[in-house]
Amino acid sequence: MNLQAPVQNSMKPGRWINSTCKMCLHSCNTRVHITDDGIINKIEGNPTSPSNVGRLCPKGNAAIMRHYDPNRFKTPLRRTNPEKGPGVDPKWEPIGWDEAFDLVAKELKKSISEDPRKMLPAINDFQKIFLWAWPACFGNANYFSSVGNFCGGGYHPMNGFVHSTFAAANDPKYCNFWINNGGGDGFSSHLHVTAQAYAVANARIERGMKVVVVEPRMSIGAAKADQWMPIRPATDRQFALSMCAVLVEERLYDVAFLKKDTNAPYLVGPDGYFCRNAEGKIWVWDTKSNQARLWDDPAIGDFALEGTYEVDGVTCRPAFQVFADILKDCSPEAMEKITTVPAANLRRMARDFARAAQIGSTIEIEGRRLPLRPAAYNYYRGAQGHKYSAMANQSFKLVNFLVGNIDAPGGHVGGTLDDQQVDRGHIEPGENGMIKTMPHQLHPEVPFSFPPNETHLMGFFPIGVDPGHLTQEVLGNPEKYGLDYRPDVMLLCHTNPLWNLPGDRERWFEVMRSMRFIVAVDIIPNDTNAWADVILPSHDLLESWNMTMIEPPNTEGPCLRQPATPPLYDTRSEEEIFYELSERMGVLEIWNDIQNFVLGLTAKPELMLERGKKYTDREIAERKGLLWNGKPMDWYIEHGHAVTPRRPDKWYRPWEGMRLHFYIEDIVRVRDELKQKMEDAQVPFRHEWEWLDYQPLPIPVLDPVHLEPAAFDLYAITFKDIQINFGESLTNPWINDIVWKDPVHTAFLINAAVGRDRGLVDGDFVKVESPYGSVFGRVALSQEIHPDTIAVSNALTRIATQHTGVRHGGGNFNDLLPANLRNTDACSGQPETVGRVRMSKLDILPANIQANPLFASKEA
Amino acid sequence: MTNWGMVFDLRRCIGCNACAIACKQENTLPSGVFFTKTLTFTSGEYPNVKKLYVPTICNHCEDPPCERVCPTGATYMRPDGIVMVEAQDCIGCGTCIVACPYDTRTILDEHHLQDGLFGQGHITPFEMQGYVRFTKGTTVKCTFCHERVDAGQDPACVATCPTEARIFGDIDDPNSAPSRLIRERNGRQPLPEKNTSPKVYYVD
Amino acid sequence: MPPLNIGFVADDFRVGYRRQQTWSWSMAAAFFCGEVGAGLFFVAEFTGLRFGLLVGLLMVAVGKASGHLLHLGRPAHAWRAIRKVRSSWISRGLLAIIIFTGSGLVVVGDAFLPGLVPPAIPAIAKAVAGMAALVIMVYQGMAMSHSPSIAFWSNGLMPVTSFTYALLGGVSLAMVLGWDTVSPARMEMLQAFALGLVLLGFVVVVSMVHAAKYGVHGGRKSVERLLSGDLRVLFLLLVLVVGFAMTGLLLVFGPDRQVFIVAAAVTELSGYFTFRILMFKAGSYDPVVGSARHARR
Repeated sequence: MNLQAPVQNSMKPGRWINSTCKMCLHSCNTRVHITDDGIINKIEGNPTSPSNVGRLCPKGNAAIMRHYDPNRFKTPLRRTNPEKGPGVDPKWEPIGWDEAFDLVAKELKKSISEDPRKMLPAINDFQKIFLWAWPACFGNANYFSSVGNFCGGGYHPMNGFVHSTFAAANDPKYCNFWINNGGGDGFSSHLHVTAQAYAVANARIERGMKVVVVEPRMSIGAAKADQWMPIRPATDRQFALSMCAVLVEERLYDVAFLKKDTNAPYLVGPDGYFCRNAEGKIWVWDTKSNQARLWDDPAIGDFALEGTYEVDGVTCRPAFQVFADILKDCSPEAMEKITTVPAANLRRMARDFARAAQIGSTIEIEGRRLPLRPAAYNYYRGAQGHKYSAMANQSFKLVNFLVGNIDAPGGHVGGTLDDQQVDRGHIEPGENGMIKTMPHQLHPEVPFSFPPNETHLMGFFPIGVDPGHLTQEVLGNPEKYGLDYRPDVMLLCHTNPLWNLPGDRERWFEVMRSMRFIVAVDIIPNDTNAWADVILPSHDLLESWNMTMIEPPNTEGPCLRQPATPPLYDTRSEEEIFYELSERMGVLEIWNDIQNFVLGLTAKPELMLERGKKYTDREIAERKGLLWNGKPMDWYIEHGHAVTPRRPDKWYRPWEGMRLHFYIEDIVRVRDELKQKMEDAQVPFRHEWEWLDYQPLPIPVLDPVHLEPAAFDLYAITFKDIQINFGESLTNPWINDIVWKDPVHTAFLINAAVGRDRGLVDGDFVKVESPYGSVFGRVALSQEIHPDTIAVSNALTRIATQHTGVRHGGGNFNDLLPANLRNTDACSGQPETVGRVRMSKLDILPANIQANPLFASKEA
Repeated sequence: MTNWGMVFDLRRCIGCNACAIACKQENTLPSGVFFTKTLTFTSGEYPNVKKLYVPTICNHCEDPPCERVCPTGATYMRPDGIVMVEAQDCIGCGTCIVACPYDTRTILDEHHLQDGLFGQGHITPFEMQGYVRFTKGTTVKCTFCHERVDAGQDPACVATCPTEARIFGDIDDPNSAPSRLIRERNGRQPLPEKNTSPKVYYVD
Repeated sequence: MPPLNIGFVADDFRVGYRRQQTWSWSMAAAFFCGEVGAGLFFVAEFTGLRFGLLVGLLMVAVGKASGHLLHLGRPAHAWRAIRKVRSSWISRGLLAIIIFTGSGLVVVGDAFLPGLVPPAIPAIAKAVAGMAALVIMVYQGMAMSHSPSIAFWSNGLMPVTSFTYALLGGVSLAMVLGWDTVSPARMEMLQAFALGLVLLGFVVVVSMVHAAKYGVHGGRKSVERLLSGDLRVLFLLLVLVVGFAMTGLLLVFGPDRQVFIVAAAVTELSGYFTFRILMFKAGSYDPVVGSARHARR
């Protein structure tokens, strides 16, 4: 055996430190190996973590290549090329930090002092989500990026309505029947993908959990599933409603749960509001005494779920009956015409699902007797990313409601973004025995204003997430929207809006050109920061401190990030950058006030940041750790995290004794209040506002994408997989070494039979065109896709040329999508993420394609 | 004596290729070089389609054709069954690559070691500390992470696998995890007709 | 066994048949020079053709060696390849080449400068070189058929094709080189021998392809490419028509004209070189996990 020095990186002389991954927005626990020469040469999962249990996804395994990327910004940079545009070299010139801070502060302040609304911020680092609040120092609530187009515009508010949480997932600990609709939880994406993939694999193999995946393209989940149910894009809501129809028609629902734990028995009047007495208490119908009683009347014999009644001269129905009436139009046979899912298959699956839910069964966990509902319906971006997103999200939730699995062991369980303190619950009581709805999970509600304060009309979305894409619509038609100012400075921080925003790139470029000054805090070049005037380079994930907890599905607790090496370059932490800017712009005091609020430090006054003082990234991280469990930084450095399995009292039915919102009256109320405000302000576009979008229960109306001209005969979808989950991917040579060898990521996927009918063969070059834009590329004929669909990997949606590692695709998929009001859910802000397209074969490549594009033949 | 082997659980594998990148990290592999990779295999016609993720790695065969055909003895088998290549002895004739039915060996060309992972000849400090192990013009392959294994750890691909689809251990020990899986779930070797006696098994 | 309807893959992450690419032009040139050179030397020994001995020796010692050195990742360490005579046909071949070169030098020296050494030595050298030449004529085929990975190659006829082509190439070149010096009777015998070898070579090559066509899948994929795929024209036209049919016709119809004999050597060697390249190119590996299709999801 050779006695030479070790050749394997983890075996070389060096030391391990505990840290946390940031290759996606979640937070797997890691250990980082640093050689005696100070080089980071291995990153592994931390085996002590109950979350990822020593494991890492491909991206987590590739973090070293972010650190040593030679394309990183190495010093503050100033643009010397006044010309701006896609592919235009900024001709960066290094400058010092003081000069950079002074310059940025001066330029931002110039506009902000004229009008604080004149800044367009796009701050997107999820692990330092408190930074998002910095523009609030100026009362600025603009947001120049997309949430809905890449995660869930309707998803988060709906979780806030139903679970009072940011996220939700099926519970792999007990689930035996797992439906995934347009989402990759447990297989390829979303919540802590490594942790969840492990948990789900164990459930599949050790417990024989059945998996059904409903989606147009066979993703990893569908490949592993017991059943793949291909579906026409943008019809997931109709699918879920048809499932509900079967459950209700065949009485496969959890009556006890609906009566006791939800507002399903509450009586609803013809105006869509609950029927209340003079004191505002809600009526229910008592079937025993056959009379209306107040919801908390101890004399109630039994709650009516069905029927039509008269209370105080008003005709009303239990919320459940309202839903049952909607479902009369949602039979699987009727919905099949929309979804293409055979009714017989749907019925069989719905029955299997209900049977697996074991309605009536219970389990004892830590001394609590809980309903056991080991069947659950999970969904995400693909299923809910449509015009009627709020309704879509609710329809999926209602499948879960019907089998009584909300927050039940084995069921569909809410997951908080960050509990901040180990003992802090997230449920607050609301009115009439119901929990308080919390649709605003990312920031407080932005007040209505007209003329609009926000270029993305946030004040018009009292229950949604930021519809950043509407900035294109508003800035393109400022008179129509009554915009009385024009933003002229932009602040970018770990974001790439020109990649992620839907709508025509050229119009986005116009917005960029209209900026007088753009500053970007970032690590590597991308599509958007190439437009900046100044770059403020930040430390990367292996050089900085942080403490984070980001919507873990099965665990809880903060995770420490600590520097593995000193900064390689002349970079700063984001905390320092924003402090320096705050100081120069005179908002240091308020910035600490805001951080105290956002970080939750107000709960422990001794941890609060003092006014007028600047703190390091380490000091803020330490406070977050102390806030959680009182442990100092040394403790976290030793352990790396305070992650434990999710506490059952927070996980399972934390709202015990209160009622959940089966029927979301708040949506009706918000609609009417907004209507009134728009009427009062005489908002000129109030009549074209999409008032249909606000429904207390979902209806099967078609999304407008289906109503595009018939010449657009296909649906274009885009997808990621576990290798490119979230962002920060293809600049990484290891990721790109595996992604661009995977056949699903190298060509547009079309159904093989459809392709043959159209005379196409593998490798043919096509143009894909929607009413809004076009992309081009090669096609691959595939058995793994619905006949109505063309699927474009996100790995092909690259137009950046700033980074040498990224290969150029044939345009940005998001160009196919409409960034207009018509295709935006007025209730949630979610834009449509499916494009209606036609496909034509091109005989020659367009002349202006970039060098080394993905679709070039191998020889070229 | 232990006899190291591996089992791939095809029901668990999600084709993420975290294994491939963990291996690249651990062994400082240049772009395009893989000691392990997970392939996809689709069969059937829409909508009755099956798609499998199939991990592949050096099978550390009991009767390795690579070892047999190697003219210099550079390819050898350790007493614990790990098939190794001694770079100093390898002349880069490629006969082992031709002889291996499993596509698990690569000859390192000059460009592998000089282009850099980011291309354009930029060699990162990570690569500098790692490439010293390589000799240009010689064959490289999976070593079952022999140094980690000697230190009592799992190979890097096994340790990182998010779904625990890779199970490593002593296949001569009937009670080891891989032996149990092979027995209980009817483990199968890849291309048994090649008579190489692989020590890697697949269960489904 | 893996299903046949899977296609070929390159470096993409799909299960599929893979093309052999490690051995290519330089190895084909080495194989060609080695076999023809050894064949020529062997024939020259029997026909007393001095130039045949010299050219044969040079083809092996210079031509074959250069081809191999070009192919090696570390040519400076090529000598190490002799270490594994126990199991490696490459080592055995190298040993044969060294022995052949040494003894061949003595034989050639004696042929051009007779009497330099006692006659017993060239006699022994002649026997040794002849044996070594025989080994060189077959070991490459042995090396190819020895490894199980490429089904098309793991065929008992592969060394026979090597031997036949080597001998045929040797005879063809001997006729060209010996046109003026070899006696008419010998020449007639060589021509008859060549014709026989053309027939034998044709039968062996066709048999080998035929066997593979109905054999295991990797071999069937190779045959597909040779008979109906991307290699079809080269195989049918150059290997079969030019290499065998035309050579045979030239030998039959022009035995007494030098230009026909030269033409026959050209067609024969063209067909043979094409065969060498095509054997490498057509070599395909089975999908790494043949049993995958049986897996449950």
